[in-house]
Amino acid sequence: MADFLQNCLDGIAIGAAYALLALGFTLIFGVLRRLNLSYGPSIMAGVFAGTAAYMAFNAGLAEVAIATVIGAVVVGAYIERLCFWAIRKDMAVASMVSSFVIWMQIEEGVTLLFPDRTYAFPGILADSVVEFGPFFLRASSLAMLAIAALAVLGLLALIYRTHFGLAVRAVSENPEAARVAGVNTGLVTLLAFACASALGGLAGFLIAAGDQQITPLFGLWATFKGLIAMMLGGMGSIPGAVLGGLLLGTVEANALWYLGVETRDLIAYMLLFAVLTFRPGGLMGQAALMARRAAESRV
Amino acid sequence: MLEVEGLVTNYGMIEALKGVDISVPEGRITCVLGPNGAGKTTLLMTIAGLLRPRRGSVTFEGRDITGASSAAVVRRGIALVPENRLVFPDMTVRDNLVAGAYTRLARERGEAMADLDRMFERFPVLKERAALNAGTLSGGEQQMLAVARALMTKPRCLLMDEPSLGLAPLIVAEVFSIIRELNEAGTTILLVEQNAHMALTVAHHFFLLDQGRVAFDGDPGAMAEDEVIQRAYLGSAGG
Repeated sequence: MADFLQNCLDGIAIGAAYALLALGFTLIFGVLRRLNLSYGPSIMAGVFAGTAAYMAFNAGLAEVAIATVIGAVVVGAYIERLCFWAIRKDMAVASMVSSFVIWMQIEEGVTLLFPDRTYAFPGILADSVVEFGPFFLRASSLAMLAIAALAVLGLLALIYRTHFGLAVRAVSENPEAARVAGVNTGLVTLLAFACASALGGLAGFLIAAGDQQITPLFGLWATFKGLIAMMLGGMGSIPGAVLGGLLLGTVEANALWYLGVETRDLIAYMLLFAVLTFRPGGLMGQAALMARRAAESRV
Repeated sequence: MLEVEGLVTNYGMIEALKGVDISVPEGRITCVLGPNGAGKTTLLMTIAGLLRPRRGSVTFEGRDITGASSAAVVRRGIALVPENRLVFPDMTVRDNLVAGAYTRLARERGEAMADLDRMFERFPVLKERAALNAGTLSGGEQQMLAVARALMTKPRCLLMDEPSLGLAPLIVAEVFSIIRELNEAGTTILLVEQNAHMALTVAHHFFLLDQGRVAFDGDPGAMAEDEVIQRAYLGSAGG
C-alpha cells in the first residue's frame, strides 16, 4: 500500500507535466478542431533554445525557462501560420499531414544545429529529497508539481475570467457565431496557439530540468504523452486534460514499479484503448459531447 | 442607409448571387423573400462580412464596406442574427450576451454591462436562465438569445436570417412583435424570411429574390399577398 501511494505521488508529479502538454493540445484542438502533431516538436525546439542559452551564455534557470518558452512560442506560431492558417478550414486531414511534415522539418533542423544528439540541461534544486512522513518526493518533482499547478490555475483564469478567454471559448464552440459577434477569429486562434505553445514550453522546461538532458526525440515523446493524456480526458475538455495527465502519470508510475520499464508504455496504451472503447469521448469529454448533441437536436 | 449594388457572391462552386441591387432605408423594415436557394442567406452573409463578394459593392451610411471583415462590419454598426440561431451551447446565457458585446468590451465595458441589464429587463426569460448553458434553452428562447446577443453589439442596422424557422406559431408571433418594437425604437431592419405572410405584416418594403437576382420589389400592397406567397415559396418557375 505504501508503495502504491508513493508511486501515485511520483505519478502525480510527472502527470502534472503531462497535464500541461494535454492542455496545450486541447486548447489548439478546441479553437481549430484539428490536431497539431507538431506540438511536441515545437516544444522540443523550445527546449533546445533553452539549452543553447545555457551553453552559450551560461544563463540562469529563469533565463533558460524564458528562452525555452519563447522558442516554443515562435516555432508554434510558425506551425500555426503554415499548417492551419494557410490551409482551408475544412481540410482537417491536410492540416494534420502538413503538421507531420513540419515535424520532420523541425527535427532535422534541430539535428543540424545540434549534431551531438544529447545535450545537458540545467536541473532544478540539485537532487535534494523532501520527506512527508513515510513518503518522499524529489525537490525537482515538487517544483514541477507546484509550477504546473500555478500554470493550470493561470490558464483557467485566462479562459474563464478574461475577454480573451471569452473569445477563445466562443471560437471553440462555434467559429461562425464568434465571427458574427465580431470576434477576430484568426487573431484569437493565433494567440490561443501561442498560449498552448507557452504551456508546452513550460512543461518541456520542467521535464528537461528533471531529466537534466535533452535529445531531439523529446518531440516524439511530448506529442505522444500529450495526445494520450488529452484523449484519456476527452478532446477539447480543460478539466479532462488535467485529469488525463494525472491519470496517465499515476498509471505509468505504478506500471513501472510493479511490472517494470518494458511494460510501462504498453499499460499506458492499453488504458487508452480501454477508455476509448467504453467512453469514446474520453473521461470528461462524454458529457460535453452529449450536451452538444442535445443542443443541436433542439435547433 | 445600406446600399447593395451589383452584388455577385459564390457559395462554394455555385454563383449564389448574380448581381443583386437592394436598398435599405434608415428606420424601416425591409424584407427579402424568396424560395430556398434564391440566395437570401448568402446576401446577408456577404453584407455581414462572412462571405467575400466577387463583384459589386456594399455601402453603409455612405461608407464602402465591401469585403470588410465581420469584426469591422460589427464595429460599423451592423449585426446579424444568423439562421438557426448559432448560440454558444456550452456557454451560459450571460456569457453568450457578453460575447455579443465583444467588440465593445475593451473600450466601453461599463456601458456594455449596462446594456446587459437592459437586455435582461427586455427579455425576462433570459434573466431567469442567465446562469444556464444556452444549449439547454428551447428553440424560442435560443432565438431571443440570438436577437439579444446581436443587440449587444449596439447595431444601427440589424440583419435577421429566418427568425421564424422551426418555431411554434405563438413564438413566431412574439418574435415578430419584437422585430416591430425594435424598429419603433429606431433600429433599421433587413429581414430575410420564408414565412412571407408574417414578413409582410411588418415590412415597409420587400424584395423578391429568385435564383440570385431581384425579381420584384415594392411595398406590401404592390402585389396580391397570394401571389407574393406563391412566388416566395416556389419562385418564378412555380408561377
